[in-house]
Amino acid sequence: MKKIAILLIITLTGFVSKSQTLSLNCESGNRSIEQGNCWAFGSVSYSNLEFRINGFWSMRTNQLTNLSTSACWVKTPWFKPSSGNITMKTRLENASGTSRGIVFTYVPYDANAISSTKEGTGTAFYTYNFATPLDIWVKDITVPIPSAIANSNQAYKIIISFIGSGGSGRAFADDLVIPGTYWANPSNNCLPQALIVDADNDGVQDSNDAYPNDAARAYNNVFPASGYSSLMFEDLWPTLGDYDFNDYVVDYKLNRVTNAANKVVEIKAEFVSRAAGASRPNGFAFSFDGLSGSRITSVSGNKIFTPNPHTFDANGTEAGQTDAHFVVVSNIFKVLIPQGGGSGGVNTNPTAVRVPNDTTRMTISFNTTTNTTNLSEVTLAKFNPYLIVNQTRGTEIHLADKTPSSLVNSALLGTADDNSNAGSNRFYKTKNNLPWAINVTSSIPYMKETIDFTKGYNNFIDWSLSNGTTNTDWYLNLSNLRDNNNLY
Amino acid sequence: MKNLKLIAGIALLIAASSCTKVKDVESTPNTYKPGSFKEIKVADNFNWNTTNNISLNVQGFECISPIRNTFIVSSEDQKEVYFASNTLMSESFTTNIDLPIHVKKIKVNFGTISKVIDVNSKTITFDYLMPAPTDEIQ
Repeated sequence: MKKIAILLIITLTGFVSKSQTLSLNCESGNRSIEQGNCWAFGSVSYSNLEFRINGFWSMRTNQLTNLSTSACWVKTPWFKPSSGNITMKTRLENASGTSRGIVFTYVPYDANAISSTKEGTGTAFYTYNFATPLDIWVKDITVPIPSAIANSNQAYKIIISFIGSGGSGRAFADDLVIPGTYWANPSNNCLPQALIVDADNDGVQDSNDAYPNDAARAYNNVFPASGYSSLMFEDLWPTLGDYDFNDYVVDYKLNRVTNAANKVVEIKAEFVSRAAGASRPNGFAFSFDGLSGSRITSVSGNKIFTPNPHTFDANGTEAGQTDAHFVVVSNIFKVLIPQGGGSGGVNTNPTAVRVPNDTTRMTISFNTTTNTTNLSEVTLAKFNPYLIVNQTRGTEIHLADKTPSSLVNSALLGTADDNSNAGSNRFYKTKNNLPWAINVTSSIPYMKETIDFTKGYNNFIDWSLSNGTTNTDWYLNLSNLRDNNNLY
Repeated sequence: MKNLKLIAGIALLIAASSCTKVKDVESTPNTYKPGSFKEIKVADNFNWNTTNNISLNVQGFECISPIRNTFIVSSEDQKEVYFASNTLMSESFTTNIDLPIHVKKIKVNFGTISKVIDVNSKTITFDYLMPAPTDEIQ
């Protein structure tokens, strides 16, 4: 018990001490660590040679052949000095040379300084001269903090410069302790910490806050990061189609809005229905694998038409599902209306009347008090969009290897050309591993009716045959990658 | 002389036939070119998506005082932001990020701390440390 109490006291003392002093004992053995905390070094390295002073590492200067204070130096981060003494241990590497000394300089913060460091004019306030004849014994140096800066509540740096003339001996230094409060910000060019401007007081400064006046929201996490992605479906599953991938073409953008605690507040989803080269009234829905309906408080903006094959829970997610499922459009032909009174073939035949794209904007609100959701739970890798064929709820067409919903008619899996095997989590692929839907990270033109997808994208086959290792830009709008004659 | 010609002829024939064999073996994979989507054959594990889901391991840095800022992962030109979070510099964490498959470099910014990282595997590591200066004469 006594040991625990002593340990606790030491720990607490260490913490308090750490926040009230700057110290540098070099035991990290890596100046990058100290630089990460805004210390700076000029021709001073860390050394574990035998002349080190304490522990395994000490500072070691270059050869001290210069009386300039800008030759060999150590510079503190910005800090607010308190009263007391600077203490440090030092020694010379050898006794040769005419003179050796250490100059202590304080530097004020100057907001108007031209330099990016905003350092003002320095004032040398103490010089320690090694006694002559020089020797190699360890010296304890004690330097009072000048009254001009002690407890001033202003930010200063202290530069400790090592000087000398004659000979080539170096100096070691260690266990530097300076009374004061650390006041640098490594994430802001090591400038002094400042009060951040945060209008909604959510802890995210306004310059980084996408919603500076809304404490409930902080960041937009948009996929894709710019523009839209394209989803393209064949709708004859479980039978192979013509692989023009235009039976339904929909662009999408998912903005996963997070708060200052990095929890998902809402998803603002946009789905732009572009083409329906189908003959059947399909629907479109999505889920995120493993995302429970209990995370969702409301769903709005989706387009549900009657008659429809869906029932919904009070929060707007589809009823009867294990995960949360979101129906976007229950009947695509109600938003991309076939012309001429018939059905099918919307925006896939260039000679037919073009129907305007339809945009569905959904807002999915998440529980943010309990049962919260991390961004990692709503990634694209977990995004699971699918077609619901011909208003038959159980007939779903997903991306390759994406799990069907709880409401799928599982009797269809593995039939006709489909080689699904639920036991090995293999879904919606032929025996040659071909999919019925593809998801492209950019919005791309789709195929004209009945033209094979590979006739529009010249490097698609090479990309797929390489197992995705070459031609990774096959979908980009670069020269020679597309055959625009075959694209709508 | 006649025998010499015969031997040379046989040697040439053997050399030519062996060259042909090598050429056949090497060119077989490259000559397989499906004429349509239906004829494509890919491996079981082939990912048809054009996104690359990477795991970014962030190694926290113990600061003298707590430093909080926005951690941003973007394209190298910073025009596309893939991830943003409110982060304590001392916090180590792992996050998954979806990148377009053609993206080979990402930029990480934490305030003014900035690094460009190659996307050369499914797992990428970031730390806040910058290289030490090299002005010392040892």
